[in-house]
Amino acid sequence: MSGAGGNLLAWQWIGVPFAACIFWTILFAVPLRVFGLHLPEPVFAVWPAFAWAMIRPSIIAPVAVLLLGLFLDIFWGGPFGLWALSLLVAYGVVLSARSMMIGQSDVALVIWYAVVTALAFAVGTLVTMIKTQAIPNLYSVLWQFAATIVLYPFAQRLIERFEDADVRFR
Amino acid sequence: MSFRDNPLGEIKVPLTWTAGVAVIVAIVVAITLLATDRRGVIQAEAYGVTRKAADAVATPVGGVLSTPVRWVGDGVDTVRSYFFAISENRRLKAELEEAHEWRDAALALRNTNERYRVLLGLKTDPPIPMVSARIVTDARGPFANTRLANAGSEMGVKTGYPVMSENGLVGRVIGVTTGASRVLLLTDVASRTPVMIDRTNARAILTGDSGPNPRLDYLRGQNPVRSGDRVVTSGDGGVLPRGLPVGVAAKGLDGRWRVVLSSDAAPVDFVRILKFEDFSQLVDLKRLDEISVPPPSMPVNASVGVTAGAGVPKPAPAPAAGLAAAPKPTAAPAASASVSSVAPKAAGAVAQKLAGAAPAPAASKTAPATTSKPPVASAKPASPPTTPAAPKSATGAAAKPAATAAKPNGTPTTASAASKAASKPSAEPAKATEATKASAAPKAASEPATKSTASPAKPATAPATSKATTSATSKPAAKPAASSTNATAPAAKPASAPAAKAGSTPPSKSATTAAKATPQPVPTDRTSAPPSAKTATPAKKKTEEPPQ
Repeated sequence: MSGAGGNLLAWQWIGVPFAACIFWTILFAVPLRVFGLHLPEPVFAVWPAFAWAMIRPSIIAPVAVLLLGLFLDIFWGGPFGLWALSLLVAYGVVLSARSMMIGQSDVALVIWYAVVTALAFAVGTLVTMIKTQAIPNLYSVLWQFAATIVLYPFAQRLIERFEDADVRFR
Repeated sequence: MSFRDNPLGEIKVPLTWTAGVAVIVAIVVAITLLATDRRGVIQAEAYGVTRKAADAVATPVGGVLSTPVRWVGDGVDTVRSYFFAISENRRLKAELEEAHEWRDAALALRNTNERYRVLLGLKTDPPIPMVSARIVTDARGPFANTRLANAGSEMGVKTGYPVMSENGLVGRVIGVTTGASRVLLLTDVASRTPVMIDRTNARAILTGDSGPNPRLDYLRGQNPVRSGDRVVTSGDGGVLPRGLPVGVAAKGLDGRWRVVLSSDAAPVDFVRILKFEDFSQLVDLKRLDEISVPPPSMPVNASVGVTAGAGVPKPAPAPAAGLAAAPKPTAAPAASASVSSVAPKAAGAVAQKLAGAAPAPAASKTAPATTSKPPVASAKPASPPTTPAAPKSATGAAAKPAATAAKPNGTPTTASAASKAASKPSAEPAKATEATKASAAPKAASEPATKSTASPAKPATAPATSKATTSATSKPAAKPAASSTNATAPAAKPASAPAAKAGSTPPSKSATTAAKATPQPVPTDRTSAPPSAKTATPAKKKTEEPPQ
């Protein structure tokens, strides 16, 4: 289905980013301190979620987003379903606003990416507050948010690589 | 029928809509999973098979990835130590010099502490076995602060075990599988740890918020904490042992008290998982609920059961000198002492248990052999002087040990006994003081023999004493003992009578409980001549021996 666009093969635009996210997430989970500071821990799954919704609507993509979120929850030991829900909300927003975003400048897309990422973190914060009856440290949230924003170039590269692959959704 | 002939063939559902439906379904799945998640719960089954399997896979992967990092770190340390060897040598010498002073102070304090423990009959926690593990992955996000350690169920690790680095508490285990344990850090937003301020003993709950410095919540009292105060685990709730170093209190930018974690002083690469069993997991709570409330005739017992052991055996009532129901101190003392030393944590819970099962829960070292039965007997004599209970049956026998307990320690348990006991010593101060030095049992033993009927007196005295104490205390004990018998002293628990271990425990251990009830002086020289319950010598023998 996702490959209906001729050159758009599912394993290329979904499978590879999916595997890359898992790899980088595991790599950044290594307990390493440099000059007494931990490595940042960006949410690598945000950029494919953003890019997949931008490239074209798909049935496989939300499933992949769900699996990525569940992987993060399991691997990081967080509440099961937290990141899955956060990423899916972000994906759904991008998918619904896709017609507005297509063709925008890079700056506009960066802003959209930041807004969507902020939405994902807001959902995560809200769910955490509900589940634990406590407010997560906002500095920690902002720190991880900033580390995730930096990953926009990966999303941009993925979008540029595949956005013309299926002209039906231009 | 070809595709074009299908009447529904012309109906095309837009892919965007289909994708939208897929998103909604996925969201519903995520919400369902989220609602059923029980992360942070202590129960092992709450962790789930999926997480266990994922941890089992992630551990070796993380181990492989972290290996080169560790090598690099070790290499950097080697180079650094090479270039900074001289300065480090100076620093270490200075530290060593200071450490010598601390060592001397520590030895002195240890000696003092040991004496206090003996004097108070204090039970300390037994050493906790531990497992060393290496951290292979580290989650540092705002919604999850956990680490994966490469020691799991094959090493005996269980859910709930505390985890420490060389500097302090790190967190606790929330999930275990073969070869891996998931550690919930103190900084996790779901982490709640009962702690106390070392200086003031003020209790608080250390609440993680995914920041580097967790909050101190529910602090009570006036100025319970100051900046720089040491924070340790309080042990409340039984999940963590008491006294594990947590960190240092500091005022946060938000004006709230926070803790600078000790474990942050260095990278947490290796950890120790303490095999500390939560006492609530050791007892059958349902069974505790089923047990009936102890009879009202033994209020003392309830207060005594501070360090009760789990398996304090019931003293078998032995017919003493023709008395059918006379309680006889049996081998209970030794058993009770050993049990109590094994499970001091379970004191509270076990105390409840014992309260129902055995009236005399005190399983401290000094706990008397006659734990369970005597109270029943004591209840009788305690009841007004209307009945000269002594000679009849167990009453008399029970009254003696009780009296003995009251006497030497000066701690009559019942009000009447207390008042009488208080009056008596005043009559004979000199003897009373001597009595305090001596073990409780011997004295009481002698007196009932003199005053009350002969037959009950003997068995009663028998339980209490070791020979050494007997000789020392038999005479002076005689007088007060007599008084106590008259005064319905039996209410006083036999707790003080026999010491569980001859020589190891002072006779006053019972005094720890009894002392609270009475204004009587507590013997100062408790370490001398502890009575042993094992040697059940008749009162006669004791009285025969010369007083010191």
